[in-house]
Amino acid sequence: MKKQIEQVLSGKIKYEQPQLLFSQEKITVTVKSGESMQGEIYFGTENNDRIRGYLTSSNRRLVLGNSSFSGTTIRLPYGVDGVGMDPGEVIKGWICVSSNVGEYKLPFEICTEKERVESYSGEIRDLDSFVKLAKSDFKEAYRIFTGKSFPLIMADASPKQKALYEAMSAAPVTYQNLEEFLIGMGAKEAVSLYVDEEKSEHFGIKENVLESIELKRSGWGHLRLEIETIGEFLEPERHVLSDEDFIGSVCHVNYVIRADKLTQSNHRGAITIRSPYQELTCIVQASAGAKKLPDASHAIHRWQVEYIREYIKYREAKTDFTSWLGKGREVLEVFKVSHGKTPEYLALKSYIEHLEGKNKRDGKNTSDILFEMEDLFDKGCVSPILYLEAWKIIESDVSKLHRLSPFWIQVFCFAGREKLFNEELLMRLAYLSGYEKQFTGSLYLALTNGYRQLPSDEVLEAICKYIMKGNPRKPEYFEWYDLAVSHGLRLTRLYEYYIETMDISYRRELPKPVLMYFAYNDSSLGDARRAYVYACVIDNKEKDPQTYANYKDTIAAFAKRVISDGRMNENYAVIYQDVLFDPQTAEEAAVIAPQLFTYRLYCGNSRMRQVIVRHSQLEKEEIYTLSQGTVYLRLYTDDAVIVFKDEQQRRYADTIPYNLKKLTSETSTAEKLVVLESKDPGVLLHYCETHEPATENLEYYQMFSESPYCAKDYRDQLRRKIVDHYAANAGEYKLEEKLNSLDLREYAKIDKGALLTTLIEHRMFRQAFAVISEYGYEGVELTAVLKLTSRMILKSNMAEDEELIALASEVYRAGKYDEVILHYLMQYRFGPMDELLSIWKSAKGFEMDTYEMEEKLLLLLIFELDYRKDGEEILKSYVRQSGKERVIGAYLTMAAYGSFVHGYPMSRFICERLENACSQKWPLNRVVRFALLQDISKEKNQQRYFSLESSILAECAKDDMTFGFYRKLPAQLLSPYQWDDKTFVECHANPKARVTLYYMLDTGLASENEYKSEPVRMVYPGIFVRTFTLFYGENLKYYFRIEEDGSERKTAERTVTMRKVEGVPGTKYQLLNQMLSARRLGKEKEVADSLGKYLRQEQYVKEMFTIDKENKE
Amino acid sequence: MNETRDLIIGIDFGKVNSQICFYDRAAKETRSLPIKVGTSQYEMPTLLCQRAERKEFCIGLEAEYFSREKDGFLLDDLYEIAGSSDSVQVEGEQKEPWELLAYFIHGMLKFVGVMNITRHTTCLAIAMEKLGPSEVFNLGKACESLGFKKEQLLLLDYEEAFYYHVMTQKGEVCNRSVGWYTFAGDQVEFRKLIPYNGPKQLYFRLGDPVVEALPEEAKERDEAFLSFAEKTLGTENYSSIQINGNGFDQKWAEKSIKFLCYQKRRVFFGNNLFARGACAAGAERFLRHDLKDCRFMGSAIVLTDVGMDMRIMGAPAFYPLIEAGKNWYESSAHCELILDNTEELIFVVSKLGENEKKKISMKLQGLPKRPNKTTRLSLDLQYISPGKCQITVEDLGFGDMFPSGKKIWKETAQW
Repeated sequence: MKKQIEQVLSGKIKYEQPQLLFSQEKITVTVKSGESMQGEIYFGTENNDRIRGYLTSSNRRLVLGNSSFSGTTIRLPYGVDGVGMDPGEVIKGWICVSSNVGEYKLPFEICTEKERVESYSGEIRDLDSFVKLAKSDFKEAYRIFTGKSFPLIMADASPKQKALYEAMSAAPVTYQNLEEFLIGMGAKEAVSLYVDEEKSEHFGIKENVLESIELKRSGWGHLRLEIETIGEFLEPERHVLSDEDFIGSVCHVNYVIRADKLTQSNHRGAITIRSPYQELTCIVQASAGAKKLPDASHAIHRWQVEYIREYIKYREAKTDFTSWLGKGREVLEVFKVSHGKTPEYLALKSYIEHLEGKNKRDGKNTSDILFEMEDLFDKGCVSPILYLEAWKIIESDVSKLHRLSPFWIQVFCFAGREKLFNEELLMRLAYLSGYEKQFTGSLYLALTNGYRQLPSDEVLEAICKYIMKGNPRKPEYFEWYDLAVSHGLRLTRLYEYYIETMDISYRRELPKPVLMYFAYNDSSLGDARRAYVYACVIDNKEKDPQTYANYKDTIAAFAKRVISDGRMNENYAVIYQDVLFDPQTAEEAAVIAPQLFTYRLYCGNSRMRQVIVRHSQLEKEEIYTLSQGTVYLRLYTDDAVIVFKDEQQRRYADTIPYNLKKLTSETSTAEKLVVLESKDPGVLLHYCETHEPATENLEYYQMFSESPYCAKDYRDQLRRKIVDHYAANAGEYKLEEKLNSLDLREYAKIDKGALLTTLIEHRMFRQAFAVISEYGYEGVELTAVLKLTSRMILKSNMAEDEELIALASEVYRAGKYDEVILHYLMQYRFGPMDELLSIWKSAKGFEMDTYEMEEKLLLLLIFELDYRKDGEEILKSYVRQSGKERVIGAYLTMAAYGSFVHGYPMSRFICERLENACSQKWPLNRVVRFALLQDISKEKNQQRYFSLESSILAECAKDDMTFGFYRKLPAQLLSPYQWDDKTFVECHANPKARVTLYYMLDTGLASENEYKSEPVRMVYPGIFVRTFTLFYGENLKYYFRIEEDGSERKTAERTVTMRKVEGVPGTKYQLLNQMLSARRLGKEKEVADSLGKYLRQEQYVKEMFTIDKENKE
Repeated sequence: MNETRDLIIGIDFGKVNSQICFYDRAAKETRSLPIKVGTSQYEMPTLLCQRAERKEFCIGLEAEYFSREKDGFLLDDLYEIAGSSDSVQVEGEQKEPWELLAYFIHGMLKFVGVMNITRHTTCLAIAMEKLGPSEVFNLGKACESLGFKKEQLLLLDYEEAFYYHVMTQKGEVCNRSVGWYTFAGDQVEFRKLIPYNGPKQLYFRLGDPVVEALPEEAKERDEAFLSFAEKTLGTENYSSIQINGNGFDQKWAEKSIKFLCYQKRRVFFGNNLFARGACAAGAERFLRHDLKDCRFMGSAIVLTDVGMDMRIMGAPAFYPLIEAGKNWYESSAHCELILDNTEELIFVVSKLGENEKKKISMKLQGLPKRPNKTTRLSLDLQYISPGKCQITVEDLGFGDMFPSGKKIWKETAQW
């Protein structure tokens, strides 16, 4: 800049600034949100002039590599900072180049990338278009579903839908997962399959035959069908089919019937088509031979059975002999017709005849008969007739029954089934059962059927005792234990078995004796059953507070023991809730926390292996293994998604029916746990979901957001809530302490606007400034930024800081400032002239000390050769504050040059300064004086400037410099140089240009005139002047042709006429003009006088001014 | 609860309290669902509340809590609303009665714990003390709005629910008459379920109610109830006694209990019999079919067969429209017919158990004049109360030849 001043002071001012050319007309950068990138541009002048200057950027998002430059072609590296920008955000600004060839603003635009999801057929904007894609190309949809960008499609989805996506996109992602995802989102229904014919028959198969089943489907979607066959003669063509095998909604499932595996008899087989949702079975019957009718032996067997049943009825005295005989004969006749006289027919016939003839027993001893019967039984006879006859014998004589042999057990079993018991025999059986060492099902049946026929406590006791000899814990025996308990029977371990066989899927009011017993015998039951008893006690504690009081301590001790083992089911849950859900210490809280929010899930689908719970708010899914269709899982929010996984890793959502039951009620407990600083992610998540942020609970939100279990999106949501709360309640003193514990960088990523507002409100300026430096200040209210900037400037003791300068400048440009900012800007800001001028004006408005600013501005104006009008104002102010002579002089020189060469108007003030400078003999370039002279020439009364004018003219004359404005000067000043009778034509052009004058002089002699041309002399860089001597009445027409850089232009044609003859003519030309003028006006006398004067003057000259020869000595 | 699909659900929609039950296939019995986690509390107040902050509806205990603690908008007359056809203003918004009922039923169904419950439900049975046209309309519309099909819904009044509850118990509980005491504070009402032989089936009816006021003092109350029981039960054989309502307590009923249990009569006390009865009715109707030989002759039963003599497929035949023995709200019929030389519809009506047949004609005044057999009519019969049947006839025209004049005839018949 100093160099420039030197040059200006010495008058080396360029007539014209070369144009600055940039490699790009606009910088457009696309950057990923949160990332940075670098770039560069080049600039220079077209004629490779050496340029120098300074660079500034309007926004800190675009940081320049250099702040100044010098050279011919300048490489300007820059960095773009996308940290803190939201996707899709656009920031516009400019780079200002303040150079010695002028000031330029290069605009820039920074955009952050907005990710898009693209399929082969175009962009996928939302779920609808994704569903359309899936319908037309499932594989492509799968590719997109498994791609990283898919969450963009889910951007507007509900937390539940997001959780579903998370669950379904967990590796390994199968096609089934996508299918289930679409179903879960309600985009489609599950595909259902059906076949028209579920049975087919094929006979006379002599060689392999290909057959098919027509399978139909409803709707579209992914399908993987497994085809299985049962039966050696069946072979599927393919074991797996997919949706691609369907033509429209139909698919043919082909199978081969293998002739080599068939015989003449009927072969039954099945083809099973298994989809993830359905299992269809088609029965196939085939034979190598012809179709066979059902076997006739079945009919014979049916008749036999009926015949025996009728006989038993007769023997049980349910029908009389005659009616049985009638039925018997009828049966026999049918038998004969259908089967002829078979041995069976003959045997039966002879037996009937035997009964008809002698319906009495022979004289055999009953003991012998029983012995024979037992013998028959041992040999394998299990005929009901045998049992019936035996029963008839003991019915009439109980004493025949001594012991319970297997035969007698069967007889009693038969009697029980046929309800033949009498009280005596039942009691006898009950008594004898007590001697049995081992349990047999038949005797159990006999006893139980006997009890149902003739209920009594003795038999009930016998049943219970007998059951206890076998496996007494089978649930089916509960009925008997229940009866025994309700009848008040006292049996060893009865209560234990009662509880152990009980269906504990629901709780009930237990009988008092049972409760009393277990209040003191708590060790005889397993934990699960004990838990059931305790849960029942707790359930009924309002009805039966006494029992509850008896159990209370035992339950508490039990609860503490089992919770440490992590036990959980619906009964444990009741106990925990009753005993442990009011924790007082952090330790207690830590123990109970993992049991909160537990649900029991039951799923009847045996193919499912695992249950996955996906909370969109948690980082990871939770996997539980199903055991007998049941699992105890934890759900912390209403929008958690439950997904099932089968053994083939396929996941299912909505298509698997299940039942969910909440086991614990933890509304108040969860809150207590949070207060006790439980770190359990579920507890914290539930808290965050069910509470609104308040000053008192922000730390819990913060705690969960910092937890590794918290999902990124949810963490952002929480942080946003926290920040919003801070912003909404900014200024609250309690918050200040909490603010200090925040990781501001993380929060700034979420909502820097709200965070900064809060920080500024809490006067945490340093922190706020650090955030702004990294993430920008977009979204923050301008007043807040102003406050921050101002305070930070003061805090830094007005030290120079790039960030601060940029911030102050941006605030200022947005129209907000205070004295501090102005002061700071005046001190450090360097940039576009407009801005600096504006700052200066604002500072003036504040009546601040602007001396240095003015000097800076003047220097910059000089540097950029900026002739703007505002410069005078600055100069005025600068001069008023006794500015530096060099600076003022340089500016005046530039202003004078501008006025003199370029013809810019010059204010009165500048003229005065110029005059002052000249009068004080400042060592300024002559252009200053020329400009001053030119300006004075415009004055009407130039009397008082004569001495100044004459001195300047003398300087001009010395260098033979004539200018157009001379004609406005008084003749007396010009006459010493014989310029008073001259006419000047002047042209302003680039000093490098070639200027040619074209003129035509009309002397009024009516001679034909022609344009003449001649090059014009450059009197002063940029000013070309030609001097003419014109006589009165002569017209000079002229124009200039300017050639510059290969182009040429013509100035407008002008005419100069000599029409005035002023004052007392002195020179001969003046006399001549006077004569000509007088003659034109017809003043003969004046002509004669003038002529006389002219001749006289000529004579004087001739005589007085002789030319003497010089002595050569 | 291990039920996940084909659910059978019973709801007792009571004046003060409501309950919900499901049918447990494994245990083959109805089970009440607790409405509070970890307790055996089955009754919840019949309340609906719109939460202030979320504009969501909640029911029962939650409704109580949110209206008390969080300034929710409470509807405590839901039972009355169910019987009304006027819309209700809720927080500045007009809501139809069925909309509010839908919120309530939806809330109740959440206790079942099955996702997409409409998809997995076979039958939703709802019992109310009395069913009028408004109740039937509102409950039907509410369930329809929740996604239930008409055939999935079963409505019962308390009498019928009681019948189903009793009849689906073990044999010894219902093989003779069943006594039923309903307590309401200091008042007790007695009714009995009486079996009697009908033409083809075993019929059941509820006897007329007998009401008695009871003193407050425990001993006197016991005595008074005892004498009431003696008077009402008499010497008749009862297989069981059912007690429900508020006002009975085993603490004061020492002597009366002894009397009730006399002759091994089984005595049951509980307030869940309507919910369980509704659920049992659903199970019976859709699953068990154990009572196909029994018929309950309640006050809602339609006692008339209605049909028409027509030519069907060219042959003269009797076309039955309404079959007697169904509840009035389940009795409806629709058919289309072509008039043949007549301008009136003649319905053939016969009372249940009577052989006499009446012919009732309905004149179709203003019937467009057309050639014979070119007037097609749509006929709808819908009972609107036990005795009233609404007949709606619409002229359907005859294709393009005789376009429909859209004329509709409506009449209410009391056969």
